[in-house]
Amino acid sequence: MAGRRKLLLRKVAAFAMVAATAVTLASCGLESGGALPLKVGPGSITPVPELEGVPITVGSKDFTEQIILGYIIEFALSAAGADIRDLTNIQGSNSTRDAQVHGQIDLTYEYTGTGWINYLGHEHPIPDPTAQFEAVRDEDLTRNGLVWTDPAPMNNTYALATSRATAEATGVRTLSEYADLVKRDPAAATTCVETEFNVRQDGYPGMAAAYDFDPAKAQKQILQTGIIYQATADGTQCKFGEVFTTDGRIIALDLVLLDDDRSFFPKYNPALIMREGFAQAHPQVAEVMAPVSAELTDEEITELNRRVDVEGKEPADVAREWLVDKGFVTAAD
Amino acid sequence: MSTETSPRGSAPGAGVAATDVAVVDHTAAADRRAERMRLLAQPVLVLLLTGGVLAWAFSRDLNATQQASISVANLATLTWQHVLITVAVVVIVVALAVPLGTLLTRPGWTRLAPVFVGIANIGAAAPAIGLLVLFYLATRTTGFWIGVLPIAFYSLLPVLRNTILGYQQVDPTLIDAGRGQGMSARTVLRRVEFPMAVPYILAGLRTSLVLAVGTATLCFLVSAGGLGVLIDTGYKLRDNVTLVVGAVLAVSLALLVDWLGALAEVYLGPKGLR
Amino acid sequence: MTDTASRKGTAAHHDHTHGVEIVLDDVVKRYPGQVDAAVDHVSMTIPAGETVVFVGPSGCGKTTTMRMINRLIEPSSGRITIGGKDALSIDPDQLRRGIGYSIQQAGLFPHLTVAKNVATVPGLIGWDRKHIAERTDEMLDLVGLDPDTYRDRYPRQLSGGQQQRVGVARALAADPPVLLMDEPFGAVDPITRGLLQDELMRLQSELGKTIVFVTHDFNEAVKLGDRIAVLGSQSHIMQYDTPEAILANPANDMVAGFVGADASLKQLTLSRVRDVRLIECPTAHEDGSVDEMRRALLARRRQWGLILDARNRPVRWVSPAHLATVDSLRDVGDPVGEILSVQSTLQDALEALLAESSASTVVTGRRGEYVGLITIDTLVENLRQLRDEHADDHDDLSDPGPSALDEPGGAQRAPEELAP
Repeated sequence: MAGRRKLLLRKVAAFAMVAATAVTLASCGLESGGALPLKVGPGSITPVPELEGVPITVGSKDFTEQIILGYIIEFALSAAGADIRDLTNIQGSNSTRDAQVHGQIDLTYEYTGTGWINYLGHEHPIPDPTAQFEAVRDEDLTRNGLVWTDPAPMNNTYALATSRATAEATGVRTLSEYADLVKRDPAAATTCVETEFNVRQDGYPGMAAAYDFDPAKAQKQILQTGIIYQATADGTQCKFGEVFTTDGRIIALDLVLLDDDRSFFPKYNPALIMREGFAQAHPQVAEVMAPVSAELTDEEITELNRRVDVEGKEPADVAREWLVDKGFVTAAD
Repeated sequence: MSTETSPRGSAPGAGVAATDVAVVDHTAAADRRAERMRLLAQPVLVLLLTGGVLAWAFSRDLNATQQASISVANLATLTWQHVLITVAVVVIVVALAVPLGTLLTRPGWTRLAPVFVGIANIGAAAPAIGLLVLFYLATRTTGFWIGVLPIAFYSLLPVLRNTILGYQQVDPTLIDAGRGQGMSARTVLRRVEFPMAVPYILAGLRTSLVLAVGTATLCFLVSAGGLGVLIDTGYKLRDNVTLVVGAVLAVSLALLVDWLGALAEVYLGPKGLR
Repeated sequence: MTDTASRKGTAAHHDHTHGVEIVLDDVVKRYPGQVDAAVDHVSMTIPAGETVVFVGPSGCGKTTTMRMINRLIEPSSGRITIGGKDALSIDPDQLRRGIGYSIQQAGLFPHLTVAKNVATVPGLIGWDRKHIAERTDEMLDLVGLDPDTYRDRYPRQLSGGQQQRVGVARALAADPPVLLMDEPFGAVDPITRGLLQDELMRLQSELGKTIVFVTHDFNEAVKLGDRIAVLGSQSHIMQYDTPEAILANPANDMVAGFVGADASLKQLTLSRVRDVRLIECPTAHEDGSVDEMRRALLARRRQWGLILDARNRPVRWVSPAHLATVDSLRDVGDPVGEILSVQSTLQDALEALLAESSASTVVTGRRGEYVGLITIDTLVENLRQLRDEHADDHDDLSDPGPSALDEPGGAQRAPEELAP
């Protein structure tokens, strides 16, 4: 009698565990974090005793730059001795935020602008990068118990770009000059955008308002994001195109970024974000990452993006290479 | 033809045969009635869907971003672009597939049929988005035709295959009867084979039309506009209102186009074959 | 002398002869890759205005031969002339517009109305619309379909028999001198087939076209054909002769097999009562004299006499026994049972004789008036005569073709002599 009951209990327990795991996995749609693909040894980042063996799950969104940034965190903290789980390349726009909030990931680089506009729901960004960071940091902590730290100088925001040839022919280097060109000669200022940018208030319409021109007067075409880069470089149907400032193809295609002289576009500086509890338990994380974040400038990250998107290298390889070049870690295999 | 009265041994003759014809006709008539009702119901459904989604969208508090997408002018423009793309695709498909299908069923040319059907198969199997991007890369231009041509290639197969099928199912004794009476081969094609293939062609065309409307939602990727703009905007911005409006309008357009195809099948086909 | 050829449409008995002669001269059809020719050196003459039936087993090439006449199949070698003109030198489409073509299943275009179907060839030739419309109605009427009812119907609304009639109407619409028919009645039930065959014979008696008719049904061939060509493998002509000749004396075992075991009975269908010699019997009207009748019966040693009515129609049989005790011929005797007409076939006569179990049956004329009597002896005599006539048919083995001996009434045939 007792034996049978024990057997039954064991069966129920096993079933419950399987079910729970399944539900957990299903609910976040994530695989359990994988191991790091590459090994690193210490460099200027030395093992930190408090981080020794601490399990840290690092996540990232599903585009190149974010994956590289994710791997940068992973290799840096791995050199410091932490036990890293890799959850980079999470599919879907808001999934990373959800994963963070629900504890599937501990750490990721998030953009200040995204936090301010998308997560905290503000319509108008704060032009000064530091002020924007601080505003996001303070509000997300109070409202959601999330800690922002170690902002990087790089700013992956919207911009208009043009081909080198068009830049030299028209002399347009800033958005104000672009606005003048649109007003003067719309046909010479054909602009290619993608759907989202076309309607977002922090996109083209807002930019037009900030730079005092009528967006309806501009000759715009809607294209797929990826095609815009090539089409702008070709310069036939798209004299100007909407780009992301740190995209690798800007270097590869020799595109010229127009300066946002009126500071319209939101600042999207990446900063580390973690739950309050995690931050308090492991303050060393922020300490280790601070010098790393400081090195992440526009030029650096654009080049890293280029190596992945244009040369076809693996993001993990590119991330480790960069960390090695900067002396933070050494390659271990 | 006379299939209802084919020799069944000791059938007593014309009287019973005519009754058999009547029985078959009755079932066919019931089918036709059902089809007629569907022809009446579908446009009503289209109107309901369109009116419903527009009423729902415009009655909401739309923020500035949404209003940029959901304005009467923008919706009208995008819908019109979508219609234009669909029409252009259909015209190209018909202009290509029907003559090609006719040629490939002529004696001496039938060996080439699998080749062309194979090519059309590639078009249909390849993801439309791939075709669009490839076409852009090959031409380095964007615009209406860069959207239309790949979609036309994608939608070619149903019409081509149905055209070939339509000709193949023409009873050879009819062609023999035509030639035996002194029709030239071309006349037989024009007056016997083609009219009898038309119902099949129209059926294929209807499928193609609906395919075209659906895949035309991707044409915005190469600056050809269309309702896909709304769908993509809504998806990227997580703006369900815009997304739903775009999707429902696309569906309504597809239903409308399907209805027009059904009308064509009923009224453009030869009367004697209905 | 009986005229066995007069039972159906030879040229002399048409209202007009519209058909033309078709000559096949050493025609061969060889398909690539096949050792044996499908049609191996066929020569025959199809006389103008006659119905010639090609009969033979499946695969013998009869349809192939027929389809070479309108060049739906091109001959590999040989000559074909139609009405004296070389068929191979005319544009095939043009040629076919002058040849009616009727096939099994009718081959009506389902997407066109009956009227449009019938109007096919006139339309191809280029008649004006009014003429076509008139002709269409005329043709529908000719095949027994009311134009107003059927003109605007579609083929799928017609029965098989009706479709075949439309098919024939379509073949005749442009009034071609030649008609090719490929088992046109094969796909309908036997009763409809019989009706259609009768229709065709009626049409032929009015129109006098040259008809080449292919069938595998020998009975149909006997009924319809002025001449029958029994074809063997590779379309070799086994026997090409009138139905009477073939029935009376099949050329070989294969033909005999086709003819079947009831050749004699079939032969009886070929002759009509008017072709044979009838026997007289004493007749009287109702108000006639009883004595005269008694004396007539006695004089001619006849058992029976006939009472006729005022219009000379036979009413009753009387025998001497009946007349023994009466004064007037009114209401005397047995009522007449079976009556034959001069149009009846000898097979009908045999049927009547058997039905009445009597030695003779009365024959009436076109208006029902008494013409004579027919007896079983007449029938037997007729068969014997036929057999005698055709006994020597196959002695001259070099040519199985028709010869002047076939038809005692040869003088009544078309002027062109057939080659021996």
